[in-house]
Amino acid sequence: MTLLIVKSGLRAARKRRLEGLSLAVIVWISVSLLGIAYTIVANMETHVSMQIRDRIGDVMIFGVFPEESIRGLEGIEGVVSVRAYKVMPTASLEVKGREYLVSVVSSSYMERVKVKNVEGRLPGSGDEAAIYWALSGPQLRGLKESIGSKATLRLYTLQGEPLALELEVVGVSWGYEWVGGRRIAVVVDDRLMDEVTGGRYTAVALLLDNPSSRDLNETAREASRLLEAGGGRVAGYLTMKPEENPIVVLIKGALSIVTVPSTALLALILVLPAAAGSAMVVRESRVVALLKAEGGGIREVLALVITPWVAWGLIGVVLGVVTVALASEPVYSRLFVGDAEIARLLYQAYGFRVPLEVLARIALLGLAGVLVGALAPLTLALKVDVVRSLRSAELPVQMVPPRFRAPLPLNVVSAFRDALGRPWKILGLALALAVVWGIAGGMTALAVGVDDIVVLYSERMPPDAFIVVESLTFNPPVKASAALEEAIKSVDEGRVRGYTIISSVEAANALGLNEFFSIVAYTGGDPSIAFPLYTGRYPEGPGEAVVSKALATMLGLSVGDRLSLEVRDERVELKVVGISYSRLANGFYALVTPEYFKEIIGVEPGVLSATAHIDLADGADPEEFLSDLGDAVEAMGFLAPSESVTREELVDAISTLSGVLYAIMGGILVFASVGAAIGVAAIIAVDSSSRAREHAVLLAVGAPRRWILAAYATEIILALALSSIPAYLIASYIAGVVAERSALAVGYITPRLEPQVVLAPGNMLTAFIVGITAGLVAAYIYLGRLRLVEILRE
Amino acid sequence: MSEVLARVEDVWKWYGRGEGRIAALKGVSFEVYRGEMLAIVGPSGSGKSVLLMIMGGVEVPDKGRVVVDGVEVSSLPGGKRASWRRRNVGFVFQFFHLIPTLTALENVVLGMELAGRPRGKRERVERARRLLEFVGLKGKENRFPGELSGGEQQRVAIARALGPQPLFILADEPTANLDTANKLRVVKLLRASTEMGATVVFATHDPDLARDADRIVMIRDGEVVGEKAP
Repeated sequence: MTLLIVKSGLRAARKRRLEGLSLAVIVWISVSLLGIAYTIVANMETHVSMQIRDRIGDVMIFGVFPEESIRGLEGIEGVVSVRAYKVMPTASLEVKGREYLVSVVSSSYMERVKVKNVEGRLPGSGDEAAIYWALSGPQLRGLKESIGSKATLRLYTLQGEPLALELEVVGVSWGYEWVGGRRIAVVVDDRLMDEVTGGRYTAVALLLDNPSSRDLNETAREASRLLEAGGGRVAGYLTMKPEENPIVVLIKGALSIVTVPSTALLALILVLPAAAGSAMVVRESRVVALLKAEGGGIREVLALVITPWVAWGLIGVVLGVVTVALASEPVYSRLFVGDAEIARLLYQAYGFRVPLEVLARIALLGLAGVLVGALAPLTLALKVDVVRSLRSAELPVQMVPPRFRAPLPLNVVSAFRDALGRPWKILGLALALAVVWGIAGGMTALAVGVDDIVVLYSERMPPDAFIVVESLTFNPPVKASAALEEAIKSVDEGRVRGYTIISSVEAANALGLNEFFSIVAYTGGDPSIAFPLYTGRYPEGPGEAVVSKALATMLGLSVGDRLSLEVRDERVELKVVGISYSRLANGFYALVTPEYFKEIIGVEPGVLSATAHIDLADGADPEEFLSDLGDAVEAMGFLAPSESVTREELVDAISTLSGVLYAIMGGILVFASVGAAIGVAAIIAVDSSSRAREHAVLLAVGAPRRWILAAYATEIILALALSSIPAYLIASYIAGVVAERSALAVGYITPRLEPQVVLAPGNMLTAFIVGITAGLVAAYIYLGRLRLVEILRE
Repeated sequence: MSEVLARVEDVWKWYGRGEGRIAALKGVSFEVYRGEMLAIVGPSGSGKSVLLMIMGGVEVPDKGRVVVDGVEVSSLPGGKRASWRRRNVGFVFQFFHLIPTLTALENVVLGMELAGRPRGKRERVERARRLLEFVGLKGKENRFPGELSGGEQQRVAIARALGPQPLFILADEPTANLDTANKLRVVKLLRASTEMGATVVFATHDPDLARDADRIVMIRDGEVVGEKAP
């Protein structure tokens, strides 16, 4: 009997095209969006990890290594390959009147970079160069025009001698990865590279077999010992585990802006089977009664109620899976690689995979949503009174409505009673609207959070100007921080109100969040310029630190609390003595004294690089000041500015982030609105059909359509009011998770979760417009199709 | 009784298309006199319901016309027909068709509210109470349809139809779904309605029921096959 019922259910699925198609579309949208988002995340993770592994292996050791020092490395247990590189990480390139901080690599190194496009050629002699850049925006595309130009490359040899090389640019190249640790690299002939390095290597990459089962730090330490024993000088090392790779986590965090709100769309899948399914059981109660009268049990009723939904849900899942398979690669190529040829090379080198296990999970989640949603009509179907439904024309599961009374028009009163008497319908509508309102609310909570940062930087936070300088030599004549301070004083001319000079190093995964954490020391000036205090004081001794307000909010830290970090394999316990407004990159930092910095990092701060945050006097032009300061820095010979930004540019950058956030979540909101509109329309259409006689009699006695439409509008408004609670929860979830995950990429954006922000009238209006338009259009069309004579005779 | 209230003139109605097209009414003509109780008698499928819907302005004839109290209802556009219907027609259906989310009193008020007659809300509620008392449902004003028996629901439907004091009441098989005691009660109420000034046209397949009418129009296969006094 059950099989027969399933067969009948499948036939019913063909008949119920409107609601079935609606469910299929909603499942399709949800599965597609989530599937594409997770496929992109998975591939980006693979591509980044594999490229990094290609370049740095499983372990990379930096320093200066003569040929003979690396010979013993292949004997280390587990090492299957040793590659040595000659890379100069810091040099200054002047081309076509602009100056760039670049790395320098050899032609043979560049040939091993798999994913790149070359225009012109790589250098073949000592007076030629090519310029490579990682695809990261249109601003570097202008470098294409440098072919045929003369360029000046300033760098220091490993022996410490300054060089200024006049080179002809014979080619340009661009690709997906950073080369030599920088976005721009200058490629020179191998012989020139040998002259610069004195024939020694600057990095050694070790590839291991089965790296995930090995202690990579131990391998790095053993390799370092061997290198030093062979006459090399080790400056540091990196280990590479994909699951601990901060770059991968960073990417995942950034993409959570897409994946988290997309997850909310899954809630829409529940809506249709629950709400429209319940209305259908009301409409078709006689079929259910007949089945029960014929001896059908819960299994048969279950089959009758859920089969059509599962059938349409499956269609949605199949469409979703096909869409993910077809659309993920073009979307990734277009939005995340940005160059068709590079994308092709990227997939050729590292593949593009649709992660079937993830896709299967999403598909199962979609189907589970359908099944859970179908529990509501099942409950209702089990309540059908067999005797009553088979002997009369009444709607047997129409319960006596609640005795709601109000001095309102009868259609409004009737709508209230209907809504209260059919909770699944109203809850279904509320959930559909809550998804729209919730995504809009989450978006606002984050956007207002970003606006707070913009206001902070616009009104409260210096710097007016910000500069990072780096030494071109490993043995600078004076510390970079001291030189920078001297340069500031030399161009002051009454323009400088105050400044902070800091030096920082990045510690990967110090908090165990797979994050980049900055250990910062202030080495000059007044710390309050860069780090205005929100509360507490500045560090005065070992173990004391100031942390950012963003980090304190995220981790729930107050002054006096302890913060435990793992820096370079050592556990460091810090006492929070102050909390600062400053965000400094992603906000993950601890400001300590220079002495304590040296104690925990092992090197003196400010020797090779330094950063200045400068507060300017009223009337001083930040751009002009930075230009003067840049010239003064370059005039010192061994220093080059790697970044200089004015406060306005910083605010613009944060505003851009706000725009990106709006654009991404706005796109998801559009999908959610379409899904919710389909859901609302289908619920109202099914409800209209289950109340066809009620509407027919109203129209027969002369009620205008607007009388019935007003009743539906009342129900939608009621659903909207009910949706405020789930909308707030959805918004809080989205904003909370996105803020936390994207913290690693862009810093913790404290989401503004006050109800007046999240449930702002504008957000409610979005949900209202979606609901009222979809609901009333569906009802209007349905009322227009009612065949009054037939219905009233039945 | 001699004044003509409504005139049905050569009314044709077809359903379906092509070869499947069926004529539900084939040139039906007759008159309805003000204040009378007219029975339209015919077997199931003879076209009674369609005829009533056309007379009430719910449907329009494909050919012919219906003129009620000087108004050619069949040529009114949709919106105006609905507006005319609100004020001039009270419907009673076989399956009662009350609004399940409104109480008995509210169902009766609904008809008056839509017609805008009487004007005041208090007057409407008062009239609804009186009508419910008239149909024998005093004390059950606040019951929902689901809490009333079939006979009681039909009596609410009659009270609803009478509410706006329409020109006539159109009742389609009003007793077909009721037991004998309730059948008699409903017929008596329809008769009493004419005494309150309403003209009643009811369709039935039961010749016994038609005996209580002032006049009978017999219809078969969409055609009027005779008119007679009971």
